[in-house]
Amino acid sequence: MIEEPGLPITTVALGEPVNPANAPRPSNDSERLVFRQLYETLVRIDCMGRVVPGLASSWRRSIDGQTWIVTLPPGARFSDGSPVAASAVLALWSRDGVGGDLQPHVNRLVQSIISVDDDTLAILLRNPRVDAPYALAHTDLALAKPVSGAAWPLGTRSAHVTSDRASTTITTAAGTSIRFLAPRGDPRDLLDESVDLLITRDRAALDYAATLPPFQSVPLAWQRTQVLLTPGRARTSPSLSEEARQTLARDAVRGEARNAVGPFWWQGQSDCEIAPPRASELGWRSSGRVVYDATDGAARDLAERLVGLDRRIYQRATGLTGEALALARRRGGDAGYVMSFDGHPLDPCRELQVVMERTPWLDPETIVPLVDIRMRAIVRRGHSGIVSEGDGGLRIAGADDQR
Amino acid sequence: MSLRTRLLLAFAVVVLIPIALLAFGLRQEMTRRLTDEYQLRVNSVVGVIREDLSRESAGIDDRLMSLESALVNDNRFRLAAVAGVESEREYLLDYAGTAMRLTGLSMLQIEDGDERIISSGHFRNEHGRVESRLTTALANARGGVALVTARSADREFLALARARPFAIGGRTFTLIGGIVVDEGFLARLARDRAIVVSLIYPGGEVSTVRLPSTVRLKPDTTATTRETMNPAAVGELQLPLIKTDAGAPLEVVEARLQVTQPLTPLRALVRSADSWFLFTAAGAGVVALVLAVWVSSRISRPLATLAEKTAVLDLDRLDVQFDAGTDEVGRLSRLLGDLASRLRSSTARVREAERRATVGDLARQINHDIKNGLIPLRNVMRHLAQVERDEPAALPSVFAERRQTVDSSIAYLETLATSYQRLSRPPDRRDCDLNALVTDVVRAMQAHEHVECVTRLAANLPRVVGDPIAFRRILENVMSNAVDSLESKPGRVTVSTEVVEPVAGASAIRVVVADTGRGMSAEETGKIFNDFYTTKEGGTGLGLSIVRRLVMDLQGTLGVESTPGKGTRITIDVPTGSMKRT
Repeated sequence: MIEEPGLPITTVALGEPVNPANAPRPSNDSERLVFRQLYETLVRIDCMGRVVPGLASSWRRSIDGQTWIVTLPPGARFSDGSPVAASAVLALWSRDGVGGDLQPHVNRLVQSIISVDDDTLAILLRNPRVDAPYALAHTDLALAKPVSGAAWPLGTRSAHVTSDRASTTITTAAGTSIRFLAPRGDPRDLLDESVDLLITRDRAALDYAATLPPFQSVPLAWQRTQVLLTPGRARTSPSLSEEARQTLARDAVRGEARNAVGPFWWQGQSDCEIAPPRASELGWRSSGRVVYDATDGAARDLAERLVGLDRRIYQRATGLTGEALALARRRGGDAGYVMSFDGHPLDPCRELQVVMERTPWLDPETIVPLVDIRMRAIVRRGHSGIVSEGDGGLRIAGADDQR
Repeated sequence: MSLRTRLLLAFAVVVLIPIALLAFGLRQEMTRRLTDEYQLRVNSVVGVIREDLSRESAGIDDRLMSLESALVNDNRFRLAAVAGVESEREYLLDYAGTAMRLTGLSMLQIEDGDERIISSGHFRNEHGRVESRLTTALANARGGVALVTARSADREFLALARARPFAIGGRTFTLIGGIVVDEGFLARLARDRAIVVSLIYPGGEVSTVRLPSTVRLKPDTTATTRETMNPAAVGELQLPLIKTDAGAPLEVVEARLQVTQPLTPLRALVRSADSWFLFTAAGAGVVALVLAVWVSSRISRPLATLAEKTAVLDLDRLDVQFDAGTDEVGRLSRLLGDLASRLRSSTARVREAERRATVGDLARQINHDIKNGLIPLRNVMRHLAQVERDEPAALPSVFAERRQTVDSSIAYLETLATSYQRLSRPPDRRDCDLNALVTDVVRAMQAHEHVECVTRLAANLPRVVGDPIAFRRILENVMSNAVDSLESKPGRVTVSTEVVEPVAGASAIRVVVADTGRGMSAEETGKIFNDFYTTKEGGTGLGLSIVRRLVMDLQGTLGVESTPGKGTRITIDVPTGSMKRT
């Protein structure tokens, strides 16, 4: 992302809290950043969208063309030195430890897995692409080995992690360390504390960084798409015009935004196996709320704009989090839900299945795309080593390079 | 009602009624005065709130004026709002929010000349909406004080608002700012937590106290309901409320700022006073009860003792001792004692006189009777002495001739002696069959040939309790008189028995002895039961007197009906009874 050679990045400011219990599957951008430095998938997608080796050294299609034969390198090890053999992958991915009963998050992507030998796995993906095993780069399939009594599971990168309330520190085998500072009330305070990297959408922080000569601001990919999920919306209902979306991006959303640009991954998924939308309950009446994730500023802006535009339908904007948000979304008793979707999921079908599980009443064809948003990386000048990957994740050069 | 009860009631009336009257009067006066005080206080608070609202409104206007001067000099705002520079649009959209926070307002929006919101602080993404006539309505508000309904993204709220137009580059803009009118604002107006300030308007209510949801659902009736439930001093202030509902035309309605001073302290005071009065009344009642019991005991006990002693006072029982005392009851007791003493003396004298009279009468009667018996004997003895002296040979024949007279006189004297003996014989008591006694006596009387004895005896006659000899003597005397009344002429004596129901008390057995003899006059009839009264030659006059005493001993009654020349009817009623029952 930053091509020029420079000093390594050692201090990173985070925008959200990091919970080790979620590892290796991130629930926010900060976890995505931290987990990426510790846990690997079998393959990776580079910034050009190509499949490149991750933990696996090679892969090929089987003779029947249905299964991917993945080979692990002989020296693959967890951070505690224990080997990463085919049997270890089976043990982590399945509940029975031999690949017969896959973990639910694995099962969404993988149909079956067989250990061919100590270093070779035969993996049948649910949505196979003939060209490359993209699904194997999904963070759901990152390898993390739980350790009894330890907060952090072991990853396959040669680094160990420690964390406290203020920060999380990843130290590589070579002795270099990256310190991730926990979020503060105002991200500008972090810029004043000699951080090397801050990834944010906060307008005030970006404006402040622009006034600070030691920093430069680098845009990241348009990774998230804000959408409106509306219970009871018919497929024939008119969608937002591009102009309207542009207006939303310009007038409603604070921070960098653009009109949502298609094609959208949830459209045209006829081959994807999803349950039909749940019928509306008799006597259903909208609560008049537009519900959004209270931790998502762009979603809040959009929800409030919807209320400002048409209060007869959208009477008030309500921010929810956690279980309350999940429950409201599952029930579908509100006027609308402004949600943030991954703009380019590795496995759209799998992503749609997850969306439908969380929103059982939803007809995917009625999802209204609103705007695309992206973050910016504020990087201290003279530092480099940030790698943007194809799934939108950022990898800080240093951790895996030490292996 | 006993004296004790009366005394108790009197004490209760004397003690409790004044306390109750005092409590009632004090309660009324206290309530009236405190209510007036509270109402004055509420009126004063209403005045203060009116001034506060004017001051707050002026303060808002001052802040808007400061903001206006800042806006006029803000080139970025000018670029965005006047020149329409796109790059400054976000600055414009965020301007009201920043300014609102800086000025301490809770509502701020900037409208252009078309009354279109170009920047909103309380609802950033409401820009573009036309707020028609809001500026005009605010400008027309009385004293510049007006409320508006404003909205943020997640709620609707009331604000005390002002509008301030200004111009930049020949274009007109309006600043509309305000402060939220919520529970906290009303509490600041109230100053005192005891005072409730409520803003009641069509469609809702804001109050410094949380009302039950059932009450809050009907805002227009809330105050009335609350006043009904909870008396309070109430004052009101009318305020214009500009309702700016989306999709509906702007509407100006009247809102009532109601200041309520609950009379809770008054009620607590009254309750406390009530409690004290109740305690006082209870204490006074207990004291009155104790006093009444003590006083009544002091009064009624000697009276009761006096009554008991007086109750047993009788001519035969005059030996009762009455205790003398110093009080009125003591004096009464002493008087009664003196009275009893005098009665004792008088009774003794009367009885002595009576005894002497009776003894004298008896002696005279005995003297008379004995003389009556002795005179024939003396005559016979004189005759026999004469015969012995003059004709000794004729003495046996003369003795034989006069012997009957001697026997008769002796028999008379024996009878007389027996009669006097009977006067003092004590009665016996046992169950008696009157029918059997009547039958025996009648059988003895049937020796007289000229007398027809008839009996009419009731079957199953109940027994009576008494001395059978007394019954026999009663019957013998009465029937003997009946036979004598025939004067040796043929006649009839009828004896009947029957059960009669007296007017009061138990049933009785009536024995009627009726004859067809010579009868008596009314005067004679009135005397026949007197001692020694007789109409018969040679009679002692004690027969019916004895009958009267015997019947009285049997708790019976005796009656006589007589018609001269036709006969006499003697009625004896004796109460039924049995020794087994008695």
